[in-house]
Amino acid sequence: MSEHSAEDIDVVISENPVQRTPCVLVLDTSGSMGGDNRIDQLNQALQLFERTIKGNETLRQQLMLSVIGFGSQVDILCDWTQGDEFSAPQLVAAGQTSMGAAMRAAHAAVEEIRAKLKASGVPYTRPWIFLMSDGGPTDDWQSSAEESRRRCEAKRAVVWPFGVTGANAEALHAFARPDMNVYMLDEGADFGAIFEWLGSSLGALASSTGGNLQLPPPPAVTVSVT
Amino acid sequence: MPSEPTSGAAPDEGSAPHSLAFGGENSASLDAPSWRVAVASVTGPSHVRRGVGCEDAAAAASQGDWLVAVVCDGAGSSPRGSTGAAVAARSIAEDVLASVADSATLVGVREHLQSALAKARQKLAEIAIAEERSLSAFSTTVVGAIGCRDRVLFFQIGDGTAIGFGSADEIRAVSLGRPKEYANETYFLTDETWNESLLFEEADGVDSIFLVTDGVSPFLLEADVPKASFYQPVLEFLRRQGAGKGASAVQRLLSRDVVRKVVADDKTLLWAQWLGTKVEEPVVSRESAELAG
Repeated sequence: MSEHSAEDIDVVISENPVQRTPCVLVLDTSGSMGGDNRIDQLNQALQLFERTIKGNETLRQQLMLSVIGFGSQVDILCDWTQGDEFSAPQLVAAGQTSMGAAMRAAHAAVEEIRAKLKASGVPYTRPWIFLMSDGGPTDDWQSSAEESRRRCEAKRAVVWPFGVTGANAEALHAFARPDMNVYMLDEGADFGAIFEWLGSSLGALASSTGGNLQLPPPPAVTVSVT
Repeated sequence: MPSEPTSGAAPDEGSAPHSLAFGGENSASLDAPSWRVAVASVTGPSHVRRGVGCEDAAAAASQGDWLVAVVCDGAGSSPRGSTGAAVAARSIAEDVLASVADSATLVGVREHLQSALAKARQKLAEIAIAEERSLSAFSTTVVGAIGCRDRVLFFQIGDGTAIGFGSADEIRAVSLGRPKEYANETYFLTDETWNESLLFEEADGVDSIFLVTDGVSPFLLEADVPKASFYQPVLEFLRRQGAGKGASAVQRLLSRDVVRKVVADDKTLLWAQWLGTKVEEPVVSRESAELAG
């Protein structure tokens, strides 16, 4: 868990009223992620992500991060924290794939940080939700997906769906805006490259102004789901 | 690719339209009987790094007492934003002028403008179909002004800034565009709901106007209030030197290292002045003299 209470993040925002970029990582920690050392590789990628953030002044100051893990339960592994305070959580693979509940928690987190940013009067970019799974949801996920897509279409968040071999691309896509692609990592998935892309993309997002954001495509196989 | 500035000037006929239009990094001026215009666009350092040119565009047209001036910022996130900006700026300026030139007041001008905006959007839609692209590939903001003598109607879709000044530099109107929740997003002419994000500001007693894209707004504004330390020396210089020298000076100003370091985006500044009012000779300040380069 983060060392910060909700009150602390208010103070962090108001003491440094720069433009903020909120992002929630929603990561599959179900039992299948234990296969092929995937969870170990994902943990290493998260540590690389932490180093990337801390080595980039824009991300240190402007990125707001939350991390949610989902197996049989949903765990808030890192509550909202500023980039310079981010510490990569250690993920442990076990249980089912509660993707629906995890995405409800992610959107709740987005609404929480939006309210805080709005109240503090600092400018902010549209929140991102980075969703990654190697399976399909095992909980009651359809209504959560419909709600998630509705929120994306209402411009309350952007869901980036990422799949690892074995993932249900259609289910991942159902949480995102219909025109979004699903990005699939093949066998021997390079989680490090994905989080490197995420770090540089969040940096570009944090620095962007009026409609000028340009992102490179993620280093993964693009799957168009219709 | 930047387009060559064009001029439809017809100096022998006082009532014929005078016009300029360009896209990309460029500068141009217009000396019409009732209005003069200086404008320059400069490529932002972030565009240079990405290997893309300046995606701003500008156009102005004048006939009789009328002026229509437009600056557009093609979205960097859209692959054909520069074309969207260039087509929109020229189309809006020409169409609005053609529809108002026989009128004597701003009454009914908003309807003419909305028709011209719809027509510009339709032109982009047709190009999009021909290129098998979506209309959003041509996303552009629009900041413009329609002047009839010293009365000016400002219009705006998306970010950027328009300001009307009286002859003593007093602020007569400011247009900032409709704010959006997210810092890095704005409204575009190509949006389905463009008409809902269209904003108007009207002013009278106007001597000069500035129209700028969002790359210049941080220099012109502080907490959404025009900064006299920026606009006064620039106005003073432009009024004294006129449109031709003014356009070159604006280009030099926007190309300065200090300006490039502060804002990485493309920058466009258009100045226009109504010539029907008596302008007193301004006192030349040090800042104004520096602008002369």
